[in-house]
Amino acid sequence: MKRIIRWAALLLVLVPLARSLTAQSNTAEMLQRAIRLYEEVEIEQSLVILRQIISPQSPYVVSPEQRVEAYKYLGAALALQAGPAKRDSAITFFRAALERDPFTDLDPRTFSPIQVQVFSTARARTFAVGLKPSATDTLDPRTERLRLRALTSHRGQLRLELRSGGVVRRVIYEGANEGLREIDWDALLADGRLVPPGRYEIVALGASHLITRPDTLRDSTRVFVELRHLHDPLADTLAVLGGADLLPEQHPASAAATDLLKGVAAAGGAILMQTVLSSGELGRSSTGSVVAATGVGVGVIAFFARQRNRTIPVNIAENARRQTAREQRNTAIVAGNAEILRETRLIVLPAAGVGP
Amino acid sequence: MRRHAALLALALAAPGGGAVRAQLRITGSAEASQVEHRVNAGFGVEQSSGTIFGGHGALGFGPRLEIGARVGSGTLTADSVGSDDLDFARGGLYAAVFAMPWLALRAEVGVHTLSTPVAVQRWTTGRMGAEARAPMLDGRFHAIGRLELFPLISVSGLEKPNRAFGAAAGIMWSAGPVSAQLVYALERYDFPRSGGVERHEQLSFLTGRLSVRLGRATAAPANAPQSGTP
Repeated sequence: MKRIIRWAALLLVLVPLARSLTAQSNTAEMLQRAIRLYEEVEIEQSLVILRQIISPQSPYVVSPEQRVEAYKYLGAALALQAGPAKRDSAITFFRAALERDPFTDLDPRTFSPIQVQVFSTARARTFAVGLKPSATDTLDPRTERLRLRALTSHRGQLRLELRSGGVVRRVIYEGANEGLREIDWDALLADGRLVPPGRYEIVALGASHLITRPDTLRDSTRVFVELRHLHDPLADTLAVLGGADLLPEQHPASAAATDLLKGVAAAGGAILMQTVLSSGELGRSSTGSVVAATGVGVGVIAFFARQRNRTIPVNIAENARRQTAREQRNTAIVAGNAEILRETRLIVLPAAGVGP
Repeated sequence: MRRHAALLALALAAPGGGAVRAQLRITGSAEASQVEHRVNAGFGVEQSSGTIFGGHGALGFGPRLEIGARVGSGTLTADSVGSDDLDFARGGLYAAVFAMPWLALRAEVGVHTLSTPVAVQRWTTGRMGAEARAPMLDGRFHAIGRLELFPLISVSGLEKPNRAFGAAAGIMWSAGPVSAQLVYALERYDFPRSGGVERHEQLSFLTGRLSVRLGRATAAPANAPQSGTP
């Protein structure tokens, strides 16, 4: 039973998908047939098919690229026909193609001068901005550049911005432009640093120089890219030295009492020898008292000296040496990492937006 | 002896001898002791005392091992009726192993003689014991304590004592390679009863010693990083 349900679910998914593919395939076939008829100068038959493709009544799915192609051939076909009405219609279809894809163009080797001239007229009446990043996916910023292809459909002002989080990080290009312009970006920000990894928006802003009344005609477009850094792993710097890494720099408060006890212990030892360890048969010697008095005296001196100054100079010097060694090691690590980062390569990936 | 000295000199001069030299320390000392000798051989306590002068030399190999020798001699004047003046001389060779920075295990072979114009009594002892040096004020002072047993002992003209031991306590001051010590030491010998008489003999020393060291300090942590709880 479970197997039947699984097959039924699979069919439910596959059948609409197959229909969609068939529909697109039908549009492609229709487009190919229309272009072939156009090339065989069967203009009227070609126009019929092309109009079917762009018609809202078309039962088939039409991709944006197919629609642009259909508009272009509609314009080209109508441009070949006599009469100002046909010419105006040709311009309208060319403009429809340009508005959808500003990179639309007529190859002068394939299309006649009259068609190219009508297309130029359409361009002059349409202001559209186009932008495509190059297909390069990995580049070395030291020697290579990210090539951007920007376009204005006719003479105008073009500005290319790199944005992140809505903030302009670099103006990549700004100036007058007409037609296609290839712009090489050095992958640096405005402050000269290599662009950090992340998602970015490259925005092309255009303002027409030809259509300025009643207002200047403007257009913009944008692409999203994800930039990643590619380099060898970086070494971690040494952490700040903690209590376990450093020696105590002060004696404990009990050190003074301990030193006093040591002196008293030496004194006690001398007294013990003089009184207990020496032979009772032989009488007591008194010379041990000199050492006993010295032991007590040194113990008392040590007690007060230690209370006044509890620092351990040897440990302070050793801790300073360890800190210096850590700083030197970290400096070397940072320098090594900088060397690695200098060889960073940049990976450019298309993205769906600036957010995740 | 000459051969051994030549071998030592060769080791120090040879390539790699630098490492040996780095580990080697030489200590030389001059000392003066106020000595008291007391004996009761069944005729009452006889006491003599005097000052002896001597020296001490030691070779330290790394932080763990030290060998040394000491000599001293002087005259002890009779302090009691019936006792004679004595010429006292002593010498000894010892080895010390530092089990801990503050604790050395010692073994020593010592000889001392007590001479009168008519007789010489020779004491030969094999000693084993331990010496502790507790640092005070970052090693500027040390409290010293030593305890030794004399398991091997022979005394000319006498039976072997049935109890023989030594002990010492003192204070040492250090400043770089120079150090000074003030030590009170006691040696006690109790002999078995013989002919109804029990002999007791005792030497005590109040010694002042001035030493100079060449080479790095021993394990005594005067200039070594010190651990401890803050």
